[in-house]
Amino acid sequence: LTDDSGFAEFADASWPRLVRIAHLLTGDFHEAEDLVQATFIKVYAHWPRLEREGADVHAYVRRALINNNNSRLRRRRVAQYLTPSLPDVARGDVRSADRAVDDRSAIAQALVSLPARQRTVVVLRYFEDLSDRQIADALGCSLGTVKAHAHRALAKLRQHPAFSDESLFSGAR
Amino acid sequence: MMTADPLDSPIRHALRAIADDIAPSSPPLTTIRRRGRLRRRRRAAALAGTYALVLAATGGVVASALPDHEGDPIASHTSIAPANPGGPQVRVVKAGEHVTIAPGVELWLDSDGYRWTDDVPGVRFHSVVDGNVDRSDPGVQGQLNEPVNQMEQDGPHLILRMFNGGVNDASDLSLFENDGIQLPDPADGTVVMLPGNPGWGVWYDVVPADRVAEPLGGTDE
Repeated sequence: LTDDSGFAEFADASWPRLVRIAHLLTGDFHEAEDLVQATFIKVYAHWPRLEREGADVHAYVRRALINNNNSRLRRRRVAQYLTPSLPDVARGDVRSADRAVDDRSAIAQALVSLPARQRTVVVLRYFEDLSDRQIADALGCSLGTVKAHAHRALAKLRQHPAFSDESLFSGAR
Repeated sequence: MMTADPLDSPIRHALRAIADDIAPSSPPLTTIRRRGRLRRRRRAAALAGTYALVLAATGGVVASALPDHEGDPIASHTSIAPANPGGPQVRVVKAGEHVTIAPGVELWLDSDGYRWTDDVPGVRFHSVVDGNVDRSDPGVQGQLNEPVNQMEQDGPHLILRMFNGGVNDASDLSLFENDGIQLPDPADGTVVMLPGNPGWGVWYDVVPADRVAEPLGGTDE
């Protein structure tokens, strides 16, 4: 008998989508899996209580994921300060015979170029299909702040070459 | 109603395409369970320590021993005093007056927002006048949950919130999420405000790492 009734089922069912969300937030597959694993460890530690109180586990996990990602970014900023000459991330000038791959790389690059809060709002709004109110709840901020982040994110994306390509618009519709 | 942006559809499609490009593996359940149990045990130990501290505080020992910034008035007797003796300590500070809120962390308030310094060089600033804070929407904003010492990720964490819309007692510090998950109990923390109850202030608390971004205020086991 285990004390985590239902946890394995929950983890199996939600892991792939959370890794995809984390991938969009981090821009890196391995970091995404690490982030989700760290989040699930916290969720597991609280699983008995979450079940007992009938909490919205999906909302809880999403919020924990966002907070963990913010902490990760904060640690990275510290690391960058302590390491003046960072290795290049080598995201630019991606060349491939496959145009679709090029497009996705460019779009991923545009997304990663956004500040963390703006990127999170974009991912929650357009991938998770959350309302702005739900996003505000997840981020622990006001509705006005979410709208401001979304507005600024869209303005920046509009300027990015990845979103100035007309073929992208025609292909998306 | 939200107006559709021409970018809405391309972004939606692009995100799905990027997400579909990866193939997540299976969750490492063995590792998650092992480390999750370890975390439970550590958390239970940390909570035991916290309860001991609370018992000491109710005896009036801890409050008088807190390291107050010299010259800072502790205004727990002001008009915004907590509704119960266990409520948050309220400190009314002058504009620009630095308050030590955790080891190595200083906070100060001005009419345009609040600033703080920590172990990362530079002053951090959250404005209350740049339009990012909806002053017409009372509530708690400016989520910050970070280790007091960035090199000690498992060490104490500083939790800091800006609250907006005025405060009459501890119950107005609604630090609770809508879905019922409880964030830090506002009664446990400290409120810092400018004189004259300007309608906003900062609430903060320092808690063990295990209590950040997780349900708080009770035990699992």
